[in-house]
Amino acid sequence: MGKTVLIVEDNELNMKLFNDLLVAHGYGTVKTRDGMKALDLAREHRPSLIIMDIQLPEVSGLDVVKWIKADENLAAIPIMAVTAFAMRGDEQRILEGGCEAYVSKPIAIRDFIATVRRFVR
Amino acid sequence: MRTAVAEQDVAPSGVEAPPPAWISSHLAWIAFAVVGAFAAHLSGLPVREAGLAAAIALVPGMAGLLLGAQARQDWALWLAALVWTGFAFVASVGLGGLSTAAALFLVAPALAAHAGRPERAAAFAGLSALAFAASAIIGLASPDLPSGAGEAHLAVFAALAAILMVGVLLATARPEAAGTEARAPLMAAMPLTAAPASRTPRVSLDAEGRIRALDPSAQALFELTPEIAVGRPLGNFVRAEDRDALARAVLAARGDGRAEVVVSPMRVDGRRMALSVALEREREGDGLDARLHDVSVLEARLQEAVRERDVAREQAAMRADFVTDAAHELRTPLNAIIGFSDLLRSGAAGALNPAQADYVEIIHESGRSLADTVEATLDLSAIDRGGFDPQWEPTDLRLPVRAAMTLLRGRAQEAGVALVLSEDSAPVGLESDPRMLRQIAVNLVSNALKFAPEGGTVDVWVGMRGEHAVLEVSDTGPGVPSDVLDRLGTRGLQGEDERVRRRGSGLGLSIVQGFVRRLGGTFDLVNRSAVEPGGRRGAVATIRLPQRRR
Repeated sequence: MGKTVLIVEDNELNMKLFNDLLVAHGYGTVKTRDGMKALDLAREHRPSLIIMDIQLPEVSGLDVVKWIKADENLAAIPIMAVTAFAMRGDEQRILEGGCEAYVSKPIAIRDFIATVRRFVR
Repeated sequence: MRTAVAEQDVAPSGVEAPPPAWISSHLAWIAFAVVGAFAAHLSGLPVREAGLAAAIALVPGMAGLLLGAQARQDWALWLAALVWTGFAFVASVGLGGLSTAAALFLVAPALAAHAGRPERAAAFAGLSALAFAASAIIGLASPDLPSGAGEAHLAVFAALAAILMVGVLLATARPEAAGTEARAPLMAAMPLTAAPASRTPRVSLDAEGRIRALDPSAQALFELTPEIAVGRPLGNFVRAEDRDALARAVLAARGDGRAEVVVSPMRVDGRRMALSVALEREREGDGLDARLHDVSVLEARLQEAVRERDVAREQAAMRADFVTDAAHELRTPLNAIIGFSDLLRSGAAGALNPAQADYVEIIHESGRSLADTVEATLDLSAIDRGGFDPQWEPTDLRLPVRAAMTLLRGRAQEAGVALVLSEDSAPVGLESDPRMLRQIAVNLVSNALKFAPEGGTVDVWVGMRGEHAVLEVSDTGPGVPSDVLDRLGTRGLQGEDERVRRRGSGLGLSIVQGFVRRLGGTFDLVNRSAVEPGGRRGAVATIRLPQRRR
């Protein structure tokens, strides 16, 4: 079985972009638009990487990250945060929130894939 | 009648023409002294003693003449009273204690009455009474003092002169000296004669803010008659919301001598009026003199200006909100355009023919450029809202500039422009925000790259110049149009030339301006032709930053 990446992203177009990009590079994907379901999906699928939109409608992506990192069975899964909010101080806040990497939109495909590969060979 | 009385009054300030009655009564005294001494000599007083008596009697007369000009000043009044009391004492004792010369003791209180200072009359009368008692005791204790006919004449003359003088002084005393107590302070504090045409409405208040008197124009402003107003606090006649402010102003004026407050008088006609009340403590006593100015027109204009400002602010905030919202809305589709075109050109979705690859490249680049504009717009709107608080830390200006150079080398190569960095060999240390510095450098250099022609050069220099850390970016482009230089710091700094306009939104320089201001520095943009006439073309952007945070 190929490596699986969990994508938590509420925007349809971005979801499709991340999905197609990962699929084109040989990854399997699990997708959800709902941050509240991310924890259950992570427990169910044990992904190799989680791509997490920080701005979710119902719950902050950073809260979801906190829950995942609080679960000792899931804490080892690397999380790559994606945000359109490239505001000052965000990068630090996100990395302090427990994420292993940070990519801001608009993503550059080369950088995005390179970052994914750092965590999932 | 009130006005007529008030107009007789003269401001008790500075040097004035001496009061005529004061002068003439003193002149009369001098004449009487000479005549008296002469008469006493004829009655048998030796010429030396008569001369001495005349000389002594001339002292208060001359002193009174000299002090006449200052007779309304407290110190002069006191001096005159002391000289007169002293003279009365000397004369009384010299002429035998309880002689008719004791009438001289009446002069000092009369002087006070004449000067319109009844409160001083009491003090001077006390002084005189003490001196009189002392002279009487001395006279009774030494019955062997000489008491010849000449001396008796002198005493009678002195008494006559004194009575005459007292009579003149009292007859010409200022009206308020004999007037009611309530009127006296008002008149003393109300110099209304100076400029009748621009008379300021005035109210006299006691220390508690109660009305003692108010002139007709103040009565009109408050729609009050003296019968209703006098004795009641002025606060009773202003709108309830202004009472505390007025009470505070009264307290302040009592303490500091003056205070000003704007109140609305309660008016039967319901007219809303703004009245400036300038309170000033009286020179004498603890009452307050209030000058009123109708500032309704000013107040209305001020209110209108405040309303307009608030509306403008609200509109600006709404516009800024709209711009921010719109920019955020643009991001998502832009991300898709950039991401999918990137995906296509990467070949991940299959090979493209050359035309397709070209078109996808154009879509991708345009998306990038639009995204840059969106980000710049968001940055500017954040600067406008006072965002982007610098995160101060010690840094070396060369580091953020190097980072910017690394980021932009690729773009310079694509544009065929040489990007040359030169820097001081020593660290360019300063306290600043490295991220903002990097953004400044990126914006300046990418702007220069846009304008430099293919084959041109962009020079970047970093170093210390005097007390400032300096970043200088120069290009070999067409330079900056003069109107753009004039508008530096405003939005849209692109040049006139359509060819130039296509290359940039001009937002980058505005962001530089905003950031540099936040960091306490200065941003100058000049054309090289202006500093090197006949030399190379191109623009020079210079950032000067303080070494220490201000």
